[in-house]
Amino acid sequence: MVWDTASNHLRILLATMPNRKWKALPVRLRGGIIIAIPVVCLFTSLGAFAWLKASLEEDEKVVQHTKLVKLETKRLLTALVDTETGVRGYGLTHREEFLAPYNRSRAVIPESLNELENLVQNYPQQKQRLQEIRTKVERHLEILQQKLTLQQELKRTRREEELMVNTALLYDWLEEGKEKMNATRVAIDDFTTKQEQLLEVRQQHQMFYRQITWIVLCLSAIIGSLGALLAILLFLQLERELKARETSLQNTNRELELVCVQLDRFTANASHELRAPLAAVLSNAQVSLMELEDLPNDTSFLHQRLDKIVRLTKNMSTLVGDLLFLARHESLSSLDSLKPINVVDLLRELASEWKSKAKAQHLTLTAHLVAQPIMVKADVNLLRQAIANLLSNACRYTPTNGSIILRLNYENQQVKIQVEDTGIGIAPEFLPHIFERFYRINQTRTKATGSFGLGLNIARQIIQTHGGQITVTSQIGKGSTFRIILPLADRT
Amino acid sequence: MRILLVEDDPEQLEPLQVALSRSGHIVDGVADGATARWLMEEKDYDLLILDWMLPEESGIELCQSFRAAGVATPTLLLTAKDTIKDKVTGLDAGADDYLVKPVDLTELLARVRALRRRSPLWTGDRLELADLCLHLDTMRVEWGDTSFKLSSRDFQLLEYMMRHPQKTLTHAQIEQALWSWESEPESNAVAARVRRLRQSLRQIGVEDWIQSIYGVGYCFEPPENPPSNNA
Repeated sequence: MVWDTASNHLRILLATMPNRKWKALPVRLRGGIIIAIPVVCLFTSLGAFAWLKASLEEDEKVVQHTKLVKLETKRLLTALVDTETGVRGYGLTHREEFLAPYNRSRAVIPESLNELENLVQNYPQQKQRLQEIRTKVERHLEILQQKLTLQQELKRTRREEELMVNTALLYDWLEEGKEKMNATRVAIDDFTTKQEQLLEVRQQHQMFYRQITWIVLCLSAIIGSLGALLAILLFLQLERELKARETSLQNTNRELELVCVQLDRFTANASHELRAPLAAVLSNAQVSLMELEDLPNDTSFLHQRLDKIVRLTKNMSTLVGDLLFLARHESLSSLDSLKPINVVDLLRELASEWKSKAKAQHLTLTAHLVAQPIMVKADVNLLRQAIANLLSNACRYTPTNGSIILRLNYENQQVKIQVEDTGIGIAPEFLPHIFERFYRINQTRTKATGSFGLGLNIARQIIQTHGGQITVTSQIGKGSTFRIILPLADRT
Repeated sequence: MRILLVEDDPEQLEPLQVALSRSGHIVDGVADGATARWLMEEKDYDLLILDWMLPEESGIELCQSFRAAGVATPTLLLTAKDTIKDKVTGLDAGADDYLVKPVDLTELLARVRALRRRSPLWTGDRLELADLCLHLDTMRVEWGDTSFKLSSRDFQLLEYMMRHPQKTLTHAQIEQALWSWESEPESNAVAARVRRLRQSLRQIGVEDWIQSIYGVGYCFEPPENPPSNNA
């Protein structure tokens, strides 16, 4: 019941607290805080208890100490009374046996005083009082000694009369001794009272700390429980949140898979729907061209128009192909179908294929390859398309009698494939944009050569999915160099 | 050559059919798999051209079932599906060639010629009978020093007759062989085509090789002593 209400309160507290801020913290930090709460509670309670315990122990020690002082003071007082009685008895009787307690006490008194001094070393006031006591005691002892010496002298010289005569005098001495004795006693009492007071203060202190200990115990129990409760609630909240996050991740995953399937279906459908009319247009135009041949009249103007339709349709078909390619491979961050292939073979094949195409445009294509196989992890069809796009661009933008070089070299675990041309080049301000989709430097120029500005974008996308880089350097009027850098496959 | 063309889009089917016919082929164009199956049982084809995405039964399934039934006819897949995976699937289903739409007709015709050469019935790029030579790829007739191109209709008829020399060919046989399955030739259609071919052949003086057999049909028979080339 109590637990429930408390947890409810805490939950409300948590809900109203800067919960959003708390939730924004990283999970690791939150976990740390949750663990830290009970640990901090534990250490705080331990620290408080240790401190209280130490304090109580000290009090105990002081109380013991004060008791010792009291005991010692009593011993001193007894010793003083003994000396007094001893001397008084001797004075009255002149018997040596009365001197025995006196002598014993004389030995005890300095010892006791020293002991006391030792004990009250830390209390300057008491020390001072003790000093006074010491002076008084010494004075008292001195007087007693004098009396004793005097009596012994008298006893030796005038044994009989003295005994009679000096009774009054003796009485006075005794009275005087008694007074001195009383003063000393008062001083000692004062000392004792002070010590008693100290003891009382200490005892009160001790009492107070005992009570505090109980309060601290209760408080730390309450705080500890609350802390543990808070930690449990926070932990539960964190767990719920993580679970929710996992569920949402799974949902997202499912959605992504669905989207992937839909994209697949879409590209398949789009491929069909876009290509069907193109196929019909192209076939019809080409059939018309065939039929024109049968007509006896001059049909060259019709021929040109139909040729144009055929060319445009083919361009359109290339564009559709490129766009579908991009749509299919856009979402791929990496390909799982990468296999080690010999890039030299691929380039040799491409070079022989493009040599004839270049020749048709009165361009020379030369390949500078290496003899030994160079392995690269790649999807061979994609890589072929990327390089073919570069070669196609080189052919497109290189004027007649120009040359194109396909170069391959490798160093430091990297393969470098270069397509260099002696073409019209690209101005520096356009260079950063040429890999963008549908980017065309010059509308008229590109229209004339029939490109849609997707080839380089596709090439870059392919190379990036292979974990490579594609860069370009160019000089207006001198030519351009496109460079593909791919990581070398491990030779296994 | 007799070709079965399966394509569900009439806009695409028609020009393809025309282009193939103009190259001297006899083309049966159908729009669905069921009709294709039925025609395959009825007639012998030299080539199959299949679209992939057809209603009900895909071109791939058709191809697979033909191959499973032991049909060896060369098959070309003509489809909008363009990924490498699709091509592999298509070729593995038993197709001999794979073309992605839109296809350049000159390429398609070249592939068709190439596939014909691979046909088990292939006898060469030309037919020769006596000194008369017919080039199948170019539809040209060669007679000594003279050579000229026939129209596709004349070529189809002459090819058929040269493949069956010295045999009586009935009207019905000729109709069966030269008209595509859905067309209904008029009653004198065969006679009209024979008349036109004779006219074409008159320039080299071999029009008499086609003899009429009254009430039955025709027979293509070179004379025992052919006239000299220079006649």
